Amino acid sequence: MSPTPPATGEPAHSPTGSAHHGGGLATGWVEELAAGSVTTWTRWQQAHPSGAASASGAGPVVGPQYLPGAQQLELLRRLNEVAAATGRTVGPALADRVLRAGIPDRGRPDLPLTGLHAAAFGPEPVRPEALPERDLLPVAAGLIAESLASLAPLPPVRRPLARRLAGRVRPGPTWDGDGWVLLHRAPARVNPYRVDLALTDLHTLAVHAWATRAVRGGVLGFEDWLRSRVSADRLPTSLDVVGMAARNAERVGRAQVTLSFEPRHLPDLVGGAGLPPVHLPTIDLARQVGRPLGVLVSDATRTTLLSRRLLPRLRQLAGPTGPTPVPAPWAGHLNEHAERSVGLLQRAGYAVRGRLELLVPSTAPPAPPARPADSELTTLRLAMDLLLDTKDGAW
Amino acid sequence: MTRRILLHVGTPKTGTSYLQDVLFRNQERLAEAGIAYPGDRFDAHFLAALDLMRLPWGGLEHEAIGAWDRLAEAATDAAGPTTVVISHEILARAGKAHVERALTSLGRDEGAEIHVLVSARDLTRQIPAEWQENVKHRATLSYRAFLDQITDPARAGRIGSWFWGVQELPDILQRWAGDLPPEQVHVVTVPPPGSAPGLLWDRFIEAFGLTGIDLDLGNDRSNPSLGVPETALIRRINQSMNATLAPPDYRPLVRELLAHQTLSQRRDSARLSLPPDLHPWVRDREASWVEAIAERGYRVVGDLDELRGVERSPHVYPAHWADPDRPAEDEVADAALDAIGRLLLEATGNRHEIDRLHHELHEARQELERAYLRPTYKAREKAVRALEGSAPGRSALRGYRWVRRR
Repeated sequence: MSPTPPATGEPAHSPTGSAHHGGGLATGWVEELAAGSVTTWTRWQQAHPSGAASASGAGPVVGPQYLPGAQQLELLRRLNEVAAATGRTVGPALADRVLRAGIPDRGRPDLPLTGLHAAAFGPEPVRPEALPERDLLPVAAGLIAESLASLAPLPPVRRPLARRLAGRVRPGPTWDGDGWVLLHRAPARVNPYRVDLALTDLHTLAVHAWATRAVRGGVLGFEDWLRSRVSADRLPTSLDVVGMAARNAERVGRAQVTLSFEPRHLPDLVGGAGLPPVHLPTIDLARQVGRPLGVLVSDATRTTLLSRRLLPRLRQLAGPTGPTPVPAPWAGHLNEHAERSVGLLQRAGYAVRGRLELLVPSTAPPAPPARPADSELTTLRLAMDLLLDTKDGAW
Repeated sequence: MTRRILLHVGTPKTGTSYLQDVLFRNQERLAEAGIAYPGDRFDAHFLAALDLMRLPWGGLEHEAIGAWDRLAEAATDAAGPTTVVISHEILARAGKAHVERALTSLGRDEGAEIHVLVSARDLTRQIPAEWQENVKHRATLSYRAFLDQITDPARAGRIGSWFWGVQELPDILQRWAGDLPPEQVHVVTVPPPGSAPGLLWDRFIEAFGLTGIDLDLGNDRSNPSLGVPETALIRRINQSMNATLAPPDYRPLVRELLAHQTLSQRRDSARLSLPPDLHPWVRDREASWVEAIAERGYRVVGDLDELRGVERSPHVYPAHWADPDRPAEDEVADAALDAIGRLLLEATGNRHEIDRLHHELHEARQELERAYLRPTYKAREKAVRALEGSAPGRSALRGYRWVRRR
């Protein structure tokens, strides 16, 4: 038996405007937000105790026919806040995009608002203004990803001929147009009989290993990545300098492997000014944008868009930043690994440029980050600044 | 003529893989009967769902670029059959914006008749099945930690959020079919354990209107389930290997070779089930779902009471509940032996293949060396060198190569 056709043959969907907004109260708030209001949902409810309110009575001019989730609504409200505080505006096009946005990846689903007719099923209602930044970031990241995916492709970057012919230098993949990172990883390239492993302290290597993964579709934030990869008795392959040197020695011979720690040599090896500092909120936003972007463009295009389109913009927005410290307890674990590695590498007898002890991170307390401590807040602020500053087609 | 879109949006672990396999294998026969199951690969609807929801999936998402629009275009092709089936269980997770995009692109506003179908199994079996599925996707969390997350009312964690997103039947139906007349919403219930083997398929046939079509049913491709010690073993493998085993290697080696092909063959071990302390909680939820679905007046293929797992399936709960967080170590060791044996056989096969390829390579090299030693080759080599020494010679060589397409 086949499914029964409808009795009337009318379209299944019949938009009913405000009814989809959960009544006049929510409709009114959506209209207010679309017009630039910064009023929170709770205040809006308090201001309209009768439960019915509509700013214009004409229904929303932007947004979908259904009531968006608390995440989309709160993101629009916070965008209004940032815009008002910085002399900018949230145009109707951006407001419409925010209200119609889906929640990509595995973020929490559309959350209902408190105080409306409660559904018996689905997630619990929330006060949108109480949502943590991590609930708003996926919406913003999805919008940024769509903007990036719509940009015209960039021409490929050609490395300078001298560097391509350098042969002895075997830098790893890059996530950044300004310089090579993950220097310690050796792809099959150029001269297969001589390997220079360009190294620095294990904290810096860890930060760059995460950053590189982050802009290549990585799932985990910095702390989660450390938690899953680094322990007292475990290092990921990308940080296992002893294993890396041994594998290369097995391939080309021990005498052909050099461990290079010369900071002044680094710019020669990697080009530009050497390792760029990793600003955690910037890279984390790139990571979150990269997740939905991976469903819109190819792997290679994603990396190009993140490294050559998104990161330069985010660096402008973030301003000067300091190094990213490795938090406890992983800082301690990495120090112990580094000290053990120095002993093993000394015994192995590789040629060393500079001092092998530079693998051990400095014991001095890490410099405080240049931005506020709350990384997610900073990440969301960066995302909102980007959305406010990015007009259609003008990246 | 009105186009009918049959949109099967869930739920996982309800025989969907088999259904989709049969539909894909019978695309031509279905088309002859006026039913389209669009897609040029068996997982086309899965990829379309990833694209629709902007959902990364361990790197597979790169194959999903543009997949929803392609599927929607094929589904609304004016020259195609007037009934179209779209089916994937992760569509259950779609949010309002995704549903809106999906229904718009499928021609809802142009008059297409949208039918939403959900196949449903009792929560009693879905809860352990979902944890096992997590474990087979590299999860390391214990069964109890999983249960804690899904019983947390806030559903704040990724596990709880995903679980209810794809399992909470009344909510899924509300998201997908909130605007539809109830007669266009179909709930197919999965029969309880011990039912006739073909009963679920008969229900799918009825729900999708496939009666009378001679379909090649092939082999059942559903993912076989693991027992308690086997799931515990996979979880321990995840804990030990996640940091070093990359997802592209995990998929064929752990999920396919170990879990599906090896450990699922062990049928005598204790089966995963709900812990007794959760029976009342699950029973209440099952009852509320059945009540809500019945109230809404949807068309039910099967029996809604089959969704009352706790009440209907006492045999699912053995007298001594086997806790996968504290498995019998001798049983885990036994499962591990099977796993090691299978990996050894796999490694042996790979070694033989490597030896064979080495041999082939060696023979090819010898053949090449013999070719170099032939007088005719030497003469040709000498001629090429001579020609490359002068400009006219090089031009002549280029002309020769152009003619020979080299």
